[in-house]
Amino acid sequence: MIGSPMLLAFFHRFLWWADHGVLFYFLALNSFYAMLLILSIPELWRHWRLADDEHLSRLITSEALPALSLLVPAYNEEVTITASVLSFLTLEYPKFEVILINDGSKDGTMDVLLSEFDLYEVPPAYPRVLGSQRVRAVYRSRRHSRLIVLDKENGGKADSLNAGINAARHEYVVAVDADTLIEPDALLRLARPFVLGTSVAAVGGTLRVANGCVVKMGRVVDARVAPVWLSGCQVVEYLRAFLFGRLGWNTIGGSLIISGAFGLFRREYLLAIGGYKTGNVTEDMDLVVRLQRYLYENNIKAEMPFIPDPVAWTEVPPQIHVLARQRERWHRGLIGTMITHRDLLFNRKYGAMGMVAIPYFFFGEMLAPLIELFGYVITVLALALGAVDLRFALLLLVCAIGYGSLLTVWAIVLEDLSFRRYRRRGDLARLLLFAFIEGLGFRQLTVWFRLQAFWKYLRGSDSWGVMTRQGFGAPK
Amino acid sequence: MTALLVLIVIAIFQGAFLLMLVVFIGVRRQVERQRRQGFLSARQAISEPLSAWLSGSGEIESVVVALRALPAAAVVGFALHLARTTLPLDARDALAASLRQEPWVRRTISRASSRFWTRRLDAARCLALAGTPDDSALLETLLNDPVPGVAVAAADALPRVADARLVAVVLDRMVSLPTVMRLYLQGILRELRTIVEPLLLARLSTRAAPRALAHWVELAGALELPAVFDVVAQLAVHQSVQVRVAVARALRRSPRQQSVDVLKMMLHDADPTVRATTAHALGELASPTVLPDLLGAARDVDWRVRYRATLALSQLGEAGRTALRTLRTDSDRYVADMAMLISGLSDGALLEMVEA
Repeated sequence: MIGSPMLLAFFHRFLWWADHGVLFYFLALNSFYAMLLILSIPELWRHWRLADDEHLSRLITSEALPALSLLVPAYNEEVTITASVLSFLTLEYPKFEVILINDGSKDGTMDVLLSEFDLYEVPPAYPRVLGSQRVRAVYRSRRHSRLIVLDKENGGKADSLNAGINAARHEYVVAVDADTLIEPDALLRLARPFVLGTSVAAVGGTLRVANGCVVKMGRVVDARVAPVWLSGCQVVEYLRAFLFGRLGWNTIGGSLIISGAFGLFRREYLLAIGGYKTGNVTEDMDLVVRLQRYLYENNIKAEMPFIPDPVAWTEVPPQIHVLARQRERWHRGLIGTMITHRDLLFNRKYGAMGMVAIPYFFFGEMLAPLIELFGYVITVLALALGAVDLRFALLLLVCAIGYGSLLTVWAIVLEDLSFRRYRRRGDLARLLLFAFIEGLGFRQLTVWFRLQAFWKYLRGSDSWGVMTRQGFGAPK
Repeated sequence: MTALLVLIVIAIFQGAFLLMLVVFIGVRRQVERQRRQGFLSARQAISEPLSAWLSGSGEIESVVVALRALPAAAVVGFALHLARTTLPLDARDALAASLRQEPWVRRTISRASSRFWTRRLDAARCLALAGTPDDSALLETLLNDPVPGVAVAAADALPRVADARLVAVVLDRMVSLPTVMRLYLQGILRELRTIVEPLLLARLSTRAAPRALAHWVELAGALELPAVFDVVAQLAVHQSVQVRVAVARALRRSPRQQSVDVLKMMLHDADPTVRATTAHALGELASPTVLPDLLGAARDVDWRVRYRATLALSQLGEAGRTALRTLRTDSDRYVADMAMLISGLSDGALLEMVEA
């Protein structure tokens, strides 16, 4: 049957169309990336110029800035919690409080907090607007008046953040992970939209990879690029994603990502949308989509900009199986969010979010691993059946990988032109090296991990998986 | 074959572009290093004539000459930083007068109408460094600049230009600005209190729009102008909640019996936000006569009023603390809870909560 000339011709034709369809998809997607990159350049330049301005520096250190509540959910962080809390308490910002939410840790996190910060119990005298697991006790510190600790029953990160939002006294809240290392002036930089007169619903800062950096007392004192393949590829991946990906969205509008590890939100809006949704494995994206939706539906003119220079450092998975869990979970969360909010797809009522952002995340992010796999399969088939020339296929692969490298190197150029965190030549060389080798293996690995998310989503899994960390320190 | 050729061309272009970007990073780093070294040595060259001038053994001209040697891109920022952090007020004025004749200063200021916002930003910064009353028209343009960063820099030049008409423009404009910008302008206007006072008095009228009036009342409080407080007190019965809240907030900066009496009256306002703000203000004024009033407010139906009143009691010394202890056993659970919370706080926590 397969040998039938008609069927073979049909199959050849199918392969040709499928191949070109996949090619067109990647051309469109990469053109969109290129557009984001071009849009990000003036944005980056603007922020770089303003970050350097004497007047704005004076303004942002003045009493005029709004007070912030830093929400820090912690689960089993016994070893690092003291350094983390101290680093949060010593951030440069005129008025802020740190609300640490112990999410029913099974280790000695609460005991460490009680003794290290001389905590004393106070009555929970605030209205509980958002639902959360029972808060067992509220503590304040005798040593650090800015510190408040909520000891609650385990309910997950979203549940903890909701408890923190209830207890927050200030107009704006900043959600950070307990193991995130925030640069001392990051909050001041994050407040730039207020200074520039923007009506703000949320602000996102940049996350960078801390693996390989020298860390002392919860601060990155020397930014380095890890010499390890897996971590190094994630360094350039984060640079690309944050430095031009998210900056480009500032101009388009309708940005759907503010990292859960470092983002500022107006408390009033969080309360209005019912806070974080528990049970969603990527609570940050779900929150931002619901927030954007709320703003559109209520005709509220408030922006959700991304600012490139407030930097927080995070540890990325140094082992493949941990990376697999993380990427699978992220993609499962994306699928869940896209399915939940499918009515927004090409919905004009929601402006740039409905017409650009959601379609991009649906077709360009959510479906990307399926289409990439399909592309690999039909290319191999076409090669096997002689429908495609081997030289053509290889050259196409070189061009595809080259294009990815080009975008990444461009992101490195932007980083070097503006904020230049990596000053050593060796680190620059490593960045460039990882930019070239990221497309050879790492990218294909993440495609595989993301494919698994579809299977798990269909099975109804809502597990987070264990995210083991090695901890920060000097480069090995 | 044609498609293959196209791909080959794309691959070559990509390779060349990649190579160009890598070379660009290297060259740019080298240029930046040289520029930085040049800047550092030029900056070093300023310290000697600057010390000589400030100690009276040198001339200001040598400082101006040394500044002239700095790279054009850095000179405005550096001179501004120098004036702000190193020079006393009279020296700052002398430097401003000397710099005003410098070609680079005149050139930078003349770009105030440039279509590039970065040039307008530099012009605004330069006006903050060496502006004169003659620059009033230019500054007005910059104050209304669509780029907020430029407007912020221009606002900093207001004390140098010290023009009553411009201050009036700012007073009228600030009511529509976001909170952070408004508070920042308040800080700048503190340096122009004598100019602001008559302008503010003319605006504090019940006929003004409530939103604008509230912001002017807020400014009156921030500037602590005694003559203006009398007018502010009269607005305590204004029909707008926003204005009454602003009055309560402003009067906490007016430690006079008249203000305390007005605030005591406001503690019975129909609106809970006004009552909470008033309780806060009474705590700040810490007059012992307000104890019974705050005790009453600590039993208010609204939790924000109870919170602020209980906090205010903690600011009244021993008498207040005794009253707090009594409230801890109050039959109303919510009143007792709040008293328990506040009386259990450390001094640092109390201070932090009062300020928030």
